[in-house]
Amino acid sequence: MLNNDELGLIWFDYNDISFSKVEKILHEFNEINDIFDAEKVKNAKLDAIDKSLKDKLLSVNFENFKEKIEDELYKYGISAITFVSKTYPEKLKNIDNPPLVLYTKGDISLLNKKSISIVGTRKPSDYGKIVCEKFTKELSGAGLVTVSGLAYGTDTIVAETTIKNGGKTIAVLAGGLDSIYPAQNKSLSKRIEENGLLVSEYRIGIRPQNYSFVNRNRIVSALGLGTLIVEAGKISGTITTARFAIEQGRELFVVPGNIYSLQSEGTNNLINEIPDTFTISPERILFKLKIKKKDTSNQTQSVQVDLNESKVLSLLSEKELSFDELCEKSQIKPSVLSALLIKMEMLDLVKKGDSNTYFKY
Amino acid sequence: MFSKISCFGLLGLNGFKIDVEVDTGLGLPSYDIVGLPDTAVKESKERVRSAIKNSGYKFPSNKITINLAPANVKKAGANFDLPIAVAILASNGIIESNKHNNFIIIGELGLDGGVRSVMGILPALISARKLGYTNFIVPKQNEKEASYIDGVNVYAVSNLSETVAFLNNNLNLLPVEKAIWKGEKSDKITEDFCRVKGQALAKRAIEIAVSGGHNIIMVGAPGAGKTMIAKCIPSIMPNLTFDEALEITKVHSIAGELDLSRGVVSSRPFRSPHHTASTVALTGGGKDAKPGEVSLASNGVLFLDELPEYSRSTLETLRQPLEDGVITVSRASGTFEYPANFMLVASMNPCPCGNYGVSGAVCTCSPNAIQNYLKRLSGPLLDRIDLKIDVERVAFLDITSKQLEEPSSEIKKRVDKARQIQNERFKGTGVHTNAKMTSKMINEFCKLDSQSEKLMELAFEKYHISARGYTRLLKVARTIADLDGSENIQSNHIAEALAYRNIDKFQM
Repeated sequence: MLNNDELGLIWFDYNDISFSKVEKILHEFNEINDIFDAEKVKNAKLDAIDKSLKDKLLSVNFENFKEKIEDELYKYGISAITFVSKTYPEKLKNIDNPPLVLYTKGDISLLNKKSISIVGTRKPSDYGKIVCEKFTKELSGAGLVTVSGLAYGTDTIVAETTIKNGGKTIAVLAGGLDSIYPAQNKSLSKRIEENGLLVSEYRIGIRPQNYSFVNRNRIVSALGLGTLIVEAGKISGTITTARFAIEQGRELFVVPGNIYSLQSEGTNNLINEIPDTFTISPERILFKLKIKKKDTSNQTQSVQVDLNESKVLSLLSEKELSFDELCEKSQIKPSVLSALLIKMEMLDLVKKGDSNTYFKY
Repeated sequence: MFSKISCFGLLGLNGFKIDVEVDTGLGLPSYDIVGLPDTAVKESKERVRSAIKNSGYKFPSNKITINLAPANVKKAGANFDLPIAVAILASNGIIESNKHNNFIIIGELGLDGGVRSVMGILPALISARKLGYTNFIVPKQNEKEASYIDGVNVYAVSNLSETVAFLNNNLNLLPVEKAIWKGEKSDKITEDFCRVKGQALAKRAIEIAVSGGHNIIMVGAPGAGKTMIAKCIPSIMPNLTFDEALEITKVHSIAGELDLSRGVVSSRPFRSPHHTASTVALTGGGKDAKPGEVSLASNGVLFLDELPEYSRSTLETLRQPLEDGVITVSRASGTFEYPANFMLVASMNPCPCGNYGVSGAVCTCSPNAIQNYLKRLSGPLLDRIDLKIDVERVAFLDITSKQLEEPSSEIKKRVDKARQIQNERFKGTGVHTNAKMTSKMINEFCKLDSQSEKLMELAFEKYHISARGYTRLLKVARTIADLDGSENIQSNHIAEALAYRNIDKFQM
C-alpha cells in the first residue's frame, strides 16, 4: 500500500517534474502529501518555480488519482518504490539526480544487497563473451547480485549466466516495465522477474528514448558497489556508465583487450586513463570490494573424458584455436574431437565462440 | 473412311491412352481437331499437312475430322503429330495393312516429315506397359530412353515415310535393343572432397548427413566454402539403384530436362535453384503442372544457397515434401503427385553483412538486423533440419597446402556401409534412413545406456534442449553409431551429435 507521501512523489513523476524541481517545490510544504491539500497549495509560493503548477495541483482529485495509480500498478504487477519509501536503496540516494520513483517487478530486497554492475558492448567478440561469462559466474557465485541493462550482448550474457548458475540479477530498463526492449529479450525478462528484479525509473507507458538509455546507465552503475566493464567501443553507452561510476564514487574495473579489436578500444582507453581499473581476474574485484569468496570446491562431474583431453587443453592454453587447427595439431580424428570438445564444453573446460573457435575457459 | 491410332498422353507422371480417330469423307474441304486440344495440339494441323505433303503423299482434299478420345481430358504437347499423320494416311488408303492397330505411336513432326523427340517417353511407356501394351513406335531421338523398359518392342523412326514404309511392311525395322543398366557412371564431373582443404568438422557433418539422410544447414561467412562442400555431396551419395534411376528419369523426362543421348539419368541430381526462384519453380505447377525443383532433386540433393534470401512463403512450401517425400500439385488440369524425396542442404551467412562472429572481420550489422535475418527461417522449417553447423573460413596455410585430403571415394565407402546397416534394420518398413524414423522406431532402435543418459541429462541442463531437439539428437546419434559400426548408441555418439547443433544461433 502506498502512503500519501509516496503518492505525492508518484504524482510528480506522472507530471514529468524533475528531481531538482521537486526539491524546490517541497521547500514550500511541510509534508509531501500537503500538495494534495487545496488550502496549503493556495498559500504556497509556487509561481516562482512553475506558473502552471498551482492550477495543476488544485485540479487534482486525490482519491481518483490514488485509485488510478493503484489500479495501474496492480494490473501490471508492478510495485513502486519512491524516494521516501523505506525500501528505497540508500546507494541511490547519494547520487546526482536520483530517480524519484523506481518501478519494479520481482524481488525488491535485492536492491539493498551487495551487487556488482557488469556492462559491455551489445556486440561482444568471442573473447568478450567468454570473459563476461567467466566473471559473471565467479562474481555471482561469490554471492554478489549482478546488475545489467537487459540489452543484447553483454547484458544478456550477464543475466543468462547469473540465472543459470542460481544467482540473483537485476536488470535496469530504459522504458516502462510494460514494454520490454528489446522485444527479443521478453522471455529473459520473465526469467529475471522470477530470479531477480526488473527496475525502471520510467512509469508504465513510457517507451525507451535515446536519452533514456544513458539515464538508465546511471542507475546501473549506482546500484553496484563497483562496475565491471568487459568490452566497450570507443564511443559507447558503456563508457558513459564508466563515467557515471567514477562520478558516483563507485569502484571501476576494466578488462583489457586486444589493441586491434574495435570492441576493446573503449576499455583499453579507460585503462590508459585510470590504470588502477586494470582487472584481469574476478578475485581482484572480490578483494577490492572486500567480499569473501565462497568455497566452491566444485562437485566433480562424473562424465568420463578420455586422455585426449589434456592434449587439447595444453594446445588451447597457448592460444584459441579453430576446430580445424585443433584437429591438425592434436591429430585427433574429427569425429572423436567434436565429441570430446562438446564434453569438455559441458564441463566448462573449454568454451566455443562463434564460428568454431575454441577457448580455454 | 475412318481410321484409329492409339497414342499415349501424360497426366503428371501417369500416362493414359488416347485414341486418335480420323474421319475423311465427302464435304467441303476442311480440317478440324476436336477433343480438348491445347494450342500445341491445334497447331499440329499445319505441321501434319506439310509433313505429309513433303513426304511425297497426297493430302486428302475432303472434309477431315480428327477426334482425340477420351474427349473430356485436356491434351497437351506435340506427341500427337505422328499418330494424326498416320491416321490420315490410313484413312485415305496410303497405309494399307492393319498393322498400325497393334502399335502405340508417339512423335512430333517437322514440316519436312522428320520425326522429332518428345518429352515424357519413359513415363508414358511405363504406364502403357502396365496397361498391357507392348508395341510402340517412338521418335529415333527417344530411342535410348525407351530402351530401358523391360518386355516391350520399341521401334524408332526418324521420319514419316519410314513410318509408312514400316507399317506397309515395305521396310523391315528391328526393335530397339534392350539397354542394360550398368550402374552409376558419372554424368558430369562432380567436385571431389579431396579438393576441399581443411573443414574437418563440416566434412564429418556432411558424411553423417548423407549416411542418415539428414537435412543439413551450413552457416558461415561468404567465401568459407559452403557451396564447394555442397557440390561435393553427390560424390559421396550411395549408388543409384535401377528403380531410383527410372524414377529420376521419369521426372526429368516430363520436365524436358533429360539428356536424350544417354536416355536415363545415371547420377544423383544436384539442384540448386537461385534464391529468386518462385514458389511454383520450386514446388512445380504452371499450366501443365510440371514438376518443380523439389521433384527434380528427388533421390538427390536440393541445395538452397543463402537460405534466408528465399521468400518466406516459398520456404514454407518445403514443409510438406520434407515431411512426406512427395509433393502434391493441384492445378486446373488436375491434381498430381510428384516424388520429392530429396536431401535438403542449405547454407546461409551468419548475418546480413556476413561477418558476424568471423575472426578478424568486423560485422556492421545491428543486433536487431542479425535477429531479423535469422528470424526469416521459421521454426517448423528449422525443425526439419537435423544438423546445423558452422563453416569457418579456411586458413591461408590450408589453402596453399599441397597435401591432398581424403577423397570422396573413401568417404563413400563408409556411407555405403552405414546405409547398408540401415537398410537391414528398416527392412520392409518403407523407411530407408535414420532421418525418417518414426517415434516408435526411435524407441526401439535408440536405446541409451546409463552413461549416455547421464550425458544427455547434463546436456539438457546446459543447453535447454526441447523434446523435438531430443528426437533429432537421437536420430543423428543413431547415424553416428551406424557409421561407427556400433549396435548401440554410446555416450560418444551422443556427444558428437550434440556438437552439430548450433545452439547460439538457433534456439533448438
